[in-house]
Amino acid sequence: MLPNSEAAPAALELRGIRKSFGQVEALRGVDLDIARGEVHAVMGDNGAGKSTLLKVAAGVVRPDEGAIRMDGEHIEFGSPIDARRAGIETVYQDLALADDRSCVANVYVGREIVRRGPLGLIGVLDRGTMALRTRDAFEGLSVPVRDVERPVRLLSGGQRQGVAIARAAIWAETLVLLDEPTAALGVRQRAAVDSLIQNLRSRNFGVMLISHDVPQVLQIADRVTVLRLGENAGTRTRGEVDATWIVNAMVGAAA
Amino acid sequence: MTPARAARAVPSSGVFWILVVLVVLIAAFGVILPADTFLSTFNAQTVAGDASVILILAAGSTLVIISGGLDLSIGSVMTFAAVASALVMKEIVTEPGQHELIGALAGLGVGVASGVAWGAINGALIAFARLPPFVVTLGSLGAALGAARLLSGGANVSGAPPEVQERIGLATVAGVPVPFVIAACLVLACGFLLARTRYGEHTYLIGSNEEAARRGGIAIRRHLFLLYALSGALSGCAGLIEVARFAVASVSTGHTTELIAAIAAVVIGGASLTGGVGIISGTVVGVFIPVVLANGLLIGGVERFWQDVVVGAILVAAVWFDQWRRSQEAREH
Repeated sequence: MLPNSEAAPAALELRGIRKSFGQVEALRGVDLDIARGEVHAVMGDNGAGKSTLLKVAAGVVRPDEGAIRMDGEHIEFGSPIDARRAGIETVYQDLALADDRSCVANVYVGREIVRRGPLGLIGVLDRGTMALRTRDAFEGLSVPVRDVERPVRLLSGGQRQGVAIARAAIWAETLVLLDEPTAALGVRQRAAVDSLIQNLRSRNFGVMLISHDVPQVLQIADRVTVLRLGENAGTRTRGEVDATWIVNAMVGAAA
Repeated sequence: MTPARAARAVPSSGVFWILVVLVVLIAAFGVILPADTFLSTFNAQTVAGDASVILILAAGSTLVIISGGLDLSIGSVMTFAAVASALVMKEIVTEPGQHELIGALAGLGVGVASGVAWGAINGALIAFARLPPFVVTLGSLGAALGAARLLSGGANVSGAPPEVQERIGLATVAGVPVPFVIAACLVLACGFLLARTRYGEHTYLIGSNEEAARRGGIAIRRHLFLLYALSGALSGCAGLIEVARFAVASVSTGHTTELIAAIAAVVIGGASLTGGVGIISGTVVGVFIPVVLANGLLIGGVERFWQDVVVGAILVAAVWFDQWRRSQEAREH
């Protein structure tokens, strides 16, 4: 038996991640880890490498160097599908919603439930079950959408964000990656999304939160990592972190 | 009702309003035209027969247009399939009454298979070579018609077994023309596929947001390839219906009128050329608007070629209306 000397390995560990696009070094050896039940905010100026780091964790970008581990086990993502299979769901900034389709259809994109028996063999959908489960999930997560059959185009910005985050929460097993989820929202809608993120934490998901929003991060993040020019400019836990530190780390001023 | 309000009502009850237009159209012709011409059983059968080819083409086009694509080759592929099957039947049935069943079955097989083949070429170029559907199917519109004329030596192909015409093309079941029954079955199958199955849902998703569909793990290339192959298969069926009805495969027009009428029907029926929206029941009602109009004008003694002018105008008007409606919707948000 191994000695149980250390805490359990993080749900996701990124170690020494490097990625260049042509001459541009987007990531120059970044370390980051996210535990279950933790909201880990990643901040930084434009071009600091936040989005690239998220894409590495989502399997969209393959790092040139570095290692990815989940629960201590080495893992490689050849595609976003691999990351999804490993239990990681991503909410991109554009949300990737099909506006003409219902909330249910958007939640189940590519993972539709078919009927049992011979009808299922020819791909007949079980819309009732999908609607029921979507409704339950929306209620459980307090997504502010009542009619799950409504086309997404008729929803507000905050509701759309809610649908996208709920979809991630429904399918994720360990981690949810959020790329600037409140960038385009008003104050009230922001608050709704913030409580959704806290809800993800209480369900023991690890959350990577890419954000520009200092007050939001101070309020809901358990840890904050600041990236600057593709490198870690520091990681601090809640309580150690304040707005001055974040801003200084972002612009590279001495603390 | 203000225009904006009417526009808002359309997406939810779109089929109802097109149905109203159709009923008004029928009533108007019924009043204007001499008694027992337009409103007669015989003419109803004629309209149903005329509608059958366009219904089949429009069912396929509904799926293609919902996926955000377009298939301009349907009229030409229909022509090719008609010529190929007529030639095969003529080859096998050398004397009346000889090998007629085999001939008919071979003609059926060749007609559908040639439609699938053209559709597969379209699908491969669109899905795998990533070429725009407009360009690919414009190319095959020309190529399939040229190939059909090469096969037939530039002349219409007659000589299909008369049995086929008697038993299918001109036959009726309980007063309903058999071609219409066949078309109705194919339309119902497409409607089922679209509304009830995973394949149908994926078609909507791809048309609504291809990137979202891709990130959701939908195999888009395979999906589109199959979609255009299906459109080709349906065009092949339409060609067979033509041969069965007239016992002739005509190469003179390339069935551009049918192509335009089918696409017009889909748009009238509420589908958007930008993809993601559409419904088979709308298309079905949409088919009857150009067909009834053409039929009424013909009975009214208007020269036949006006039909093409009118159907073309309907297509443009329907797209214009669709655009206007969407801009009204966008303004509300």
